[in-house]
Amino acid sequence: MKKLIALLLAVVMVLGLVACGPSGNNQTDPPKASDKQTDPPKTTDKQTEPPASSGSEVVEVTVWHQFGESTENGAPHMYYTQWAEKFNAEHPNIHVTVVPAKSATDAQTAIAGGSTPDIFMNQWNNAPTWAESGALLDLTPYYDAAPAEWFNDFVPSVLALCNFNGKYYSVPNSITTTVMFYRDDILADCGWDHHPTNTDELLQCIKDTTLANEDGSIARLGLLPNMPWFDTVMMPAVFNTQWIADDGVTVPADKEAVAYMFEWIQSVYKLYEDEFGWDYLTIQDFASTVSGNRATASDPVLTGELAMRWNSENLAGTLAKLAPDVDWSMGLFPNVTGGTEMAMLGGNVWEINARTEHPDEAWIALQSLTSPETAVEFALGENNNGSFYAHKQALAALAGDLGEQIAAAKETPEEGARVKENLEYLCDVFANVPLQNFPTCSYVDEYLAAVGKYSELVFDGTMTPMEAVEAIIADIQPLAEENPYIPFEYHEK
Amino acid sequence: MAKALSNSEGKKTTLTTKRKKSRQERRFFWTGLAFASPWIIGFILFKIYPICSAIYYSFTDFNMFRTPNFVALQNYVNLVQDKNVIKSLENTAYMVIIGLPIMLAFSMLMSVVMNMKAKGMPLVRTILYIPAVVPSMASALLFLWVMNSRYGIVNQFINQVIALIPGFIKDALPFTLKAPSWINDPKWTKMTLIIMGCWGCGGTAVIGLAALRGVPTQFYEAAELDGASRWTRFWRITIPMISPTIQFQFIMGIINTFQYFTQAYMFNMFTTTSQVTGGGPKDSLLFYAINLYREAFDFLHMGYACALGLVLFMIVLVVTFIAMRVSDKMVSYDVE
Repeated sequence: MKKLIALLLAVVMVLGLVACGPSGNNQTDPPKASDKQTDPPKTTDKQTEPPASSGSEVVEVTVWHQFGESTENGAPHMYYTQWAEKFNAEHPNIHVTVVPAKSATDAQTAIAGGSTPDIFMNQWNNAPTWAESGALLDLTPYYDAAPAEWFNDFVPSVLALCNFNGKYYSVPNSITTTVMFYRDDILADCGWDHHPTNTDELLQCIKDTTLANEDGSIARLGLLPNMPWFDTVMMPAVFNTQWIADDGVTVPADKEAVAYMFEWIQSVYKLYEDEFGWDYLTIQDFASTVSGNRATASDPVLTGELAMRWNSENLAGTLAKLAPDVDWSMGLFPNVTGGTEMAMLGGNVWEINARTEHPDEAWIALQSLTSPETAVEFALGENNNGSFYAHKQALAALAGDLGEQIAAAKETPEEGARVKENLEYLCDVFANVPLQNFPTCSYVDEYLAAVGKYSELVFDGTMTPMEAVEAIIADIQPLAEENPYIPFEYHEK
Repeated sequence: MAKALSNSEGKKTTLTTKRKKSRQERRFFWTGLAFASPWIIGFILFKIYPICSAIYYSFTDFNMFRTPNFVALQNYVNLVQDKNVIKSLENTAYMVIIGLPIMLAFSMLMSVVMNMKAKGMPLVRTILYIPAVVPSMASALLFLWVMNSRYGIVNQFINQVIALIPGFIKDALPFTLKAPSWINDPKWTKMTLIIMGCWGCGGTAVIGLAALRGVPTQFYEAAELDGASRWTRFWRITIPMISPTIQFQFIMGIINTFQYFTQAYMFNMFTTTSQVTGGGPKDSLLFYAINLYREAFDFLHMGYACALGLVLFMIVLVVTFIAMRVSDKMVSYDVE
């Protein structure tokens, strides 16, 4: 009897292994990112036409987004729900279901298990790793077949977020940048009637605007020199360098430039230590406190604890609402002397599950979801505060009529005027300033982690800038050689 | 005791001295098995199957999405050479060797306090136990503010104490008296987690309390008659009598501390400097489980992460075995 039970258990175990393994018989292995996809998509170039593969049966397409479930008007989930209702009415052969509150990890687990969703929202920096792993459908043939008015309306630099090794695996959704917030009244009190125009001036401005309490503690910092994405994305743009050279293999493009970039950030810490006696840890303690207050009534820009703050653009709405009378303004981060004006780019993207059973129908839904018309509707934003989408038409609307509509709905005319001004400025940045992102290579997360780890050792004085660069190279160069990077090239249709 | 014989038809039959189970006994057996089957099926699907899968995947380049390729021992070779594995083992060992004894000692102290006969003790017990029911994530967020260097209540208190110390004493010290940077200083980050662990050890304290309540009072009465002091009674009676409970908590503590994850993960997420590195200031919070999670879900090196998991299993197995052998000699089972 015991033998029989043992045998039964063993059979169940083996069956389990076979049934739940990642390469089941009924499940085709997703294509490798580096594989060439020769089959043209079945979809036609007009998004409104039904897919060739669909007969009279209604195809179910599931869309996962990351926002919470809310039925309130102006909630992101409602925008997606309303879009789905409209899409379903226009496409009798496809039925889209929108599922809220699904994080990237949820999508990762679901795809690995071979199930839904067909379309899902993701952070841009996950795309290269996921594409390389075979989780994402190669959308290049669909992009090629897509109408010019859809493709050409995207802000060109945003498409770089969706391109990995020359192929498209994502479609842009909302976009974000990071700008400098200046407390103009503080700058004026310290003798600055203009924003710093280069990194030398910025260092001087930091020195002039920093203030100590009587007991020697921090009353105000000119600038927090170490923020997320600061040393990884913004500073290479400021210092005209790149993390991967044009050959796609050498990391970084210019060792000296990266070392100089680290040195500049280190010089801010040195300034605080030499002039005010605040060491690296004191600055980090200050940073931990003010980070927790971001975009609240205690935001350090509002309280005057920071004279300048490098922050994502969404802080502007909070500042306009909470303190319309505080004298602040936005600007691009000052460049190194002789450098090119640039801004940082981030955002979230839409992707299609490589194991979807209905890739053509999923693409039709995705193309509609990311159309210029949908983007204009979505640009009204969460609670009608305005959101930035990757389409030129959406940005133009936000800078124009839509922006006026948003401003008119504000509680006070002062707040409305401020909001309108902010939207116009930021739309101009997105549309006209070259936007830079971290290279979309398959080792993006390892590279970001290495830069974060070693730059920290530079700033606290454990390593010299060049030692840190060498350490980064030692960690990342083997990965770069194993996975050559193909830089994105934009070609209008 | 089985013997093979040939019958008239030449076929072999087996004679056995073992009593054949009756029909009723067989029915009971199958009924019992049917009742236990939900657990057995769950155990196979959710324990045995993942373990077997992990063993298999640890020899592959599995990335969650594509068919794994066999890479033999490559993951294990990489693991030995990985600087992050060494760093994460150091951090985890710190928590096991330093953190666990501190937390166990604190939990024992709480048990003793809870066992005191005083007015309002039920309220004290409730207050001491409440942190144990606070979710790890919530307590980590709470402690990020409690231990905040500028506005945290702990440093406010320390600064007030420092202010009370006369200047000549401060001047005579070879170092500057300063409240620690609990969250950003790599020298203090792990201690912050240990303090947080002490705050939330009401669960283990209740187990200790139950053990204390189980010590027969006549032992104390006899010792008191013999003139034993309170301290002697504690060391000579209480500790030996509750030593099996201490051993249990110690062994469970080792196993849990090797898997330390949630609190450190939250700290890493919410401290400015750590957002990019994922391992806290200077990787001081890069614990083994955090490193495993990063490899599996950030870098999608699932095969490598499985190898990490199996190595962790072996480490926990060996350490637990040694801890049991060593602690067995110190445990008294003379209660009954």
